Order: sequence, then structure tokens, then C-alpha cells
Amino acid sequence: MGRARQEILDGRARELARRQSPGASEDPAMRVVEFTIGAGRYAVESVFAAEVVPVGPVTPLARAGALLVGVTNVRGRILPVVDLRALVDAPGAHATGRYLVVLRNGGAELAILADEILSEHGLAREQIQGPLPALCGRRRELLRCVTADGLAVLDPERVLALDPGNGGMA
Amino acid sequence: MRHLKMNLTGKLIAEFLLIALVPLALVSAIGFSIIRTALLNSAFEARAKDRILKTAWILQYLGDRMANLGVLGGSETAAAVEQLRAAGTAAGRWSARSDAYQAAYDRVDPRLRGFAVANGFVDVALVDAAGGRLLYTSAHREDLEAGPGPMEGSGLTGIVALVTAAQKPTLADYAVSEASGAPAAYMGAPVRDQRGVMVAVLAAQLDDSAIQALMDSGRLNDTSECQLIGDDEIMRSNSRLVGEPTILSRRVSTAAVEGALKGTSGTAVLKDSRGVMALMSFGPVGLPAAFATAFDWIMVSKIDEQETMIDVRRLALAVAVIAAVVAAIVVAAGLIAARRMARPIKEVARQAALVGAGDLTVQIPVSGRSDEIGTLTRVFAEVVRNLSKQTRQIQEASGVLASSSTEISTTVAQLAASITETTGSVNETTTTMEELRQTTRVATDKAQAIALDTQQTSDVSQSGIAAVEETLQHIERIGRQMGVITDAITRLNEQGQAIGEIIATVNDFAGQSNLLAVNAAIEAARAGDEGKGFAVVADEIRRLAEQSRQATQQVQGILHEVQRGVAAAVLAAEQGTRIVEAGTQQARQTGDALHALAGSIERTAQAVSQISASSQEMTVGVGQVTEAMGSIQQSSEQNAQGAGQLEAAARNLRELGIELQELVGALKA
Repeated sequence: MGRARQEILDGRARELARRQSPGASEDPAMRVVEFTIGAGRYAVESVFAAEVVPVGPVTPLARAGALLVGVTNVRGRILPVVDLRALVDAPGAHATGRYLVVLRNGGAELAILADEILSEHGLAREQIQGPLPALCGRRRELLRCVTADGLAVLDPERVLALDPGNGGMA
Repeated sequence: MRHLKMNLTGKLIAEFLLIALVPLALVSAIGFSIIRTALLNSAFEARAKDRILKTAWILQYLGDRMANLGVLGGSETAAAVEQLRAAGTAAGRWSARSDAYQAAYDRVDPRLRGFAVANGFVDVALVDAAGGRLLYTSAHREDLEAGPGPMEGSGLTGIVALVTAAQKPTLADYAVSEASGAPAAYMGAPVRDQRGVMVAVLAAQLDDSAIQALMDSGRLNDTSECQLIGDDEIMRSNSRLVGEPTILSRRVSTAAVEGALKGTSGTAVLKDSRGVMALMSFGPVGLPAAFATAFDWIMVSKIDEQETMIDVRRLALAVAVIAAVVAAIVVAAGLIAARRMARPIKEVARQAALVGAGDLTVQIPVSGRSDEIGTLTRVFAEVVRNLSKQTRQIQEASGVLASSSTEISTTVAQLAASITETTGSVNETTTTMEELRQTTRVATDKAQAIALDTQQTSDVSQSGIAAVEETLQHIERIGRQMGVITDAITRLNEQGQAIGEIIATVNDFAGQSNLLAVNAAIEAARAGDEGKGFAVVADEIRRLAEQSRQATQQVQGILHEVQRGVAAAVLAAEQGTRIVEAGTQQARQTGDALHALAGSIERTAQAVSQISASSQEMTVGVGQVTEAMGSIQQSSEQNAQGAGQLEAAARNLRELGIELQELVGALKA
């Protein structure tokens, strides 16, 4: 038992020693917070991300669309909660929605319902590509760019515009 | 047809003759017999009467003369004797030539001669009783001079001796006189003087012709006669049927004479001395009783049978003539009757011949006659019709018989085959019974062996019951151990769940740490370059959280494995418990089964002993069956022989049916 445990610990130590942070070695073009909605990997620029919190009680709103799930209380602030699955045609509709990613731009705030919060990291410039021509509709409007490995970076302003209270697209 | 007619006529005539002549013959025979018997009886009666009459006559004739002779022998004759004796004796010497004697003779002679004539004597003589000298003779005066010589051996000498001996009148049988050579019979009487002294013997010779006249008197028939026969079977009378004298010369030796000599009398039909059949009545005359003689004569009265039967012969001739006339009448009547009866019978006979030849289709002309011949014709027609009908039926029946006999033959052949099969089967059965007997013996041996095995098995089952009880104890211990194991596993499961909760808590911690790290990184990013160091720390925290989360995931995986193992262990423990229960139940059932097995073995032992007994009985039974099969085999062989005989009989029957068919087929019905 003790020997196996030592081996596991040794393995972890070697992993740490070998891996280097990409953001530390290069000057990244932007830093993003990566999360998952369903099977899709999404990200927002860290500068627009206020914080990530576990989801609390969400109060449904009357006469709200499918996009706006309801409102929730985050540290005393009442924030609208949107579920992007309906909007971005996220494949694999199954989602737990355990976390909220709070976006803030100026005075506008909005919480995105996310399944998992993966990490906050930087994106190199060569990684960033334009919006994929294959994408269409409102999803294309919400995306700012897509990385080579399929990470979709959301445009915070357009996402924030989804809130009718912000005088956006509605 | 002519032949038939003649035959019928002849038969009818013969029958008529028979009917007419047989009674005639019978009546004739009976009448002939009766008449013949009556004639014979009558003839016999006549002979008997004749004989008795002649016997009486002879006796009376002799008796009269005997009495007269006795009277003549009185004193007067004695005086004459004295005179003759004195005159003849001169000078003491006898001389018949003397004158004195001649004178005395002449004085005596008329009286004595008169007596002889009166009584029918041939000769009367006086013989001196003192000297035996002949003193006087009426017939032979010239012989007196001869002296005593001629007297010797003659009948005179015999009567003198008889009278001298008897001292009374008596009779002498015929004797042949030496002087004359002829037979002569004398009767004599003593001559007594006044004192009663016999001085001489008076002798008289009987006259044969007088006696013959007596015998022949009263004769009615041609051949009838009476005969006197002496006891020397020589005749004492002359037969008128024989030409020569027969006295003392003809011997008559018949059964009648022999019977009469024994003193009996009777009748008979016998051959007489001439060799001719004659009816005879015979009997003794009775001289000894009448005259105290030493001899006797036999009286035979006879007649030739031929003369007696002459009436019978006439009767036979008359009957023959009558019979001839009757036969002629009968033949004529028979001819007429036969002609009247033959014609219809001839016709019927012709039809009957056709029927006899097998033609039953003939038409019989029925005549209107109401007598028996008409009836015969009608009945014959009826018979032919019936015969035709029956023949047709027989033809049909013979066809049926032929087919039936063929079927019988077939059936009998099948029967024979069946019997052969049966014999084979019986042989097989006998063999099988032998095998069965051996099998039964083996079964008996096996049963005994099984009895031994059953005992051993009973022991083994008892051991098994003990082992099962021990096994039950073991299984109960295992059950208890399984309970302990189940408790332990349950506890382990609970602890695993506690570990899971801890892991969830740690995972939650890791998530919160990650979240904190992301938030710290966000803050650091917002802080720009000043926050870069903080960002590194936050990233490290985030990595640590990530590693924690991975570690918890590994632990969780291990825990999942453990929980699966525990679940499997729980399942296994439950199964084990159930198995233990099942094992317990199984062991109990095994125990019960072993108990039942022990009981079964007990019963098996009983059954085996019963089987053994049954096998022995079966051996006996098989022996009996084998004997019975032997009997059946014999019966089968007899059946086979019987079937063979039956086959032969059926074949004969079939041949008979065919013959019958051929026979009946020859008939036209």
C-alpha cells in the first residue's frame, strides 16, 4: 500500500516538472476562461469574466424566452441567467448546468449556465482563427473566434446584448 | 318286351298253379296220410283179431281133444289094454301075429278107431306102460309086429315119455318120424284101471290138415295167412302161400318172432320169410298155460303190405288226375289274366327302361284304369316327375358339394399348414420353456444373490443415514460461518459508502478549489501585469485541484470496484446462504430418502424372498408347462396325422363330389 502510494505521488511530481505553462513562456494574444456547455467547449475573455460560481437557486421569469432561464442571486446581485444551448446549437443537449460564468462589461452583467469550468489560460495568436464560415445564424453572431482545436470564444458584448435589460438585441 | 310278357305270363301261371296246387297237394298229402294210417291201423287190427281168434280156436281145438283123450283113458280102455296085453303075450313072449291078439285087436279096434275118426286124429295108439310096448295103433296095424323098434325116436316115443313123467294128459311138439320121415305131433293121456294105476299111455297124432283148415278159415284177402312157429323159429304149420310143406322145414327168423318168443305180442311191418314186406300181428299161443307143456308156439297173422295199400294207391291216382285238371284250368286262367295285365305294364316297363337309361323327361301316358295298374301308372308318372325334380336338386347340390369339398380341401390344407406351424411353435415354445426354466433357475440364484446384496445395501444405507446426519451438522456450521461472513460484508459495504461520501466531499473540495483558482486567475488577468505572479499561483492551485479531482476520481473508481466486489460478495454470501439452506434441505431430503431407501431395501428384501419363492414355484410351473407342452406336441402330431387323414377324406369327398356330378350329369332332368 505505501509503495503504490509513493509511486503515484512520484508520477504526479514528474508530470508537474515536465509541463510548462503556455502563457508563461509566450506572450498570449488574450486570456480566456474555458468551460463546457454540453459537449461543446466555450470560452470568454478573462477581462470580461467577473467570476465563476456554483449555480444557486434560479427563479424563472414570466414571459421570458427559451434563452433566458431566469434570475439568480450572486453575492447580493440579481443576475439574468441564459442558457446558450438553445442559441449556439450546442451538440449533446445533455447538460448539468452546475456553474455560472458571470460576464461583466461596464455596468452590464449576465450569468451563463455552464456544465464544467475547465481553466483560465492564454491563447496564442496563431491559435486564433476567424469565425468558421460553416457556422450560421445567431451562433455565428455570438462567436468572436474559434481556435484550431475547436474552442469557441464567445463575444461578450453580443452575449451581454442578449439580456433585454441591457438594451441589446431584443 | 316279348320276353317280359312271357316272363310275366309264366310267373302268373306259376303263381296260379302254386295257389291252386299247393292246397290240393296239402289236402292230398294229409288225406293220404290219414287214410294210409287208418288203413294200416285197420289192417293191423284185422291181423290182431285174426291172430287172437286163431289162437283161441287152436287152444279150443287142442283142449277139446285133450279132454276127450283123458276121458277115453278110463277103465274101459284099461280093460282093453289088459286084453291086448294078455292076447299078445303067449308063452311069455310077445307076438302080434297070434290069433288071440288079432281077435283082441278086432274087439278093441272099433271103439278106438271111431274115437280117432270122431276127433279127427290121424292115428290113435296104446303103449304099455309096463314095458313100453305098442299095444294098439289104428293107422299102422302092420307095424305092430315090428316090436318096439319102430317106436324109438318117433313122436310116439316122446309123448309116452312125457305122459309117463307127468301122469296126466299132455301135448308133444312136432317131431320127425323115423318111420315115415314126416313131421308129426302127438298128444297123450294116461290109461288108468279101476284102482287108478296107469297101465298104458293113450297117444293120438294130430291131423295137420285139420289144423291148417283152422288156420285158413275166415280168410278174406289174397295174401293174408296165419302161421304157427315153434320156439326154435321153425314153422309148425304149412303156409298156403308156399307150394311145399313147411312144417319143421322153413325157418322164420324175424323181429316179430323174437319178440313173441319173449312172451310179448304186437304188430309190425316186416319182411316175411319170402322177403316180402308184410303187416304182422304176433303173439304166443299160450300152450304152457293151457296144457303145462314145456314148449310154446307162436301165432303170426300177416298180410302183404302191397295188398293193404292198394286203396291208398287208388286215392293217389285220383288226386293226380284232379291236380292235372286243376292245373290245366289254372294255366288257362293265368294266360287270360296275364294278357289283360301285361299290356299296360309293358308300356310302363318301356318308360321305366328309358328312365333307367337316365332319361327323366319321358311322358307317361296315364290311362283311365281305376284298378291297381292304373294306380301304378299314375304313381309311376308321379315318381318320375318327383325323381326329375329331385335329380335337378341333386345336380345343384352336387355342384355345391363339389365347390364345398374344394373349399374343404383348401381349408384342410390350411389347417394342416397351421398344425405344422403349431407344431413348430410348440417346439419353439418347448425350447423357450427350457430356456425359461434355466432363466428361472438363474433368477432364483440371482434373487438369493440380491438378498445378500440387499443386506449389504441396508447396512450401507444405515451408514449413509449416519453420514447425512453428520453432513447436516457440518452444513449448519457452514451456515453459521456464512452468517458471520454476511455480517462482515455488510459492514464493509457500509464503510465503502462512508468512503464514497468522503470522496464526494473531497471532490467537492477539489471543485471549489478549481473554482477558486479560476476566479483567482480571472482576478489576476484583470489585474494585468501585476497579477501575473498571482496568476501562476492560481494556476498551480487550479492544477492541484485538478490533480485532487483526478485522485478522487481514481479513488472513486477503486471504491466502485470495491463496492462492486462487495455487492458481488453480498450476492455470493446470499447465494451461499441459500445454497447452505438448499444443502440443508437437500441433506434432509437425502436423509429422508435414505430412510425411505432403507425401508425400500427392507421391502426389497421381502420382495426378493418372495421372488425367490415365486421363482421356485415358477420352476415347478415351468416343469408342468414343459410336460403340458409335450402333451400339446403329441396332440399336435396327432392333429397333424388327423389333418392328413382329413385331407385324404376331403380329397375323397371332392372326388366323390366330382363323381356325383358326372353321375347326375348323365341324367336328363
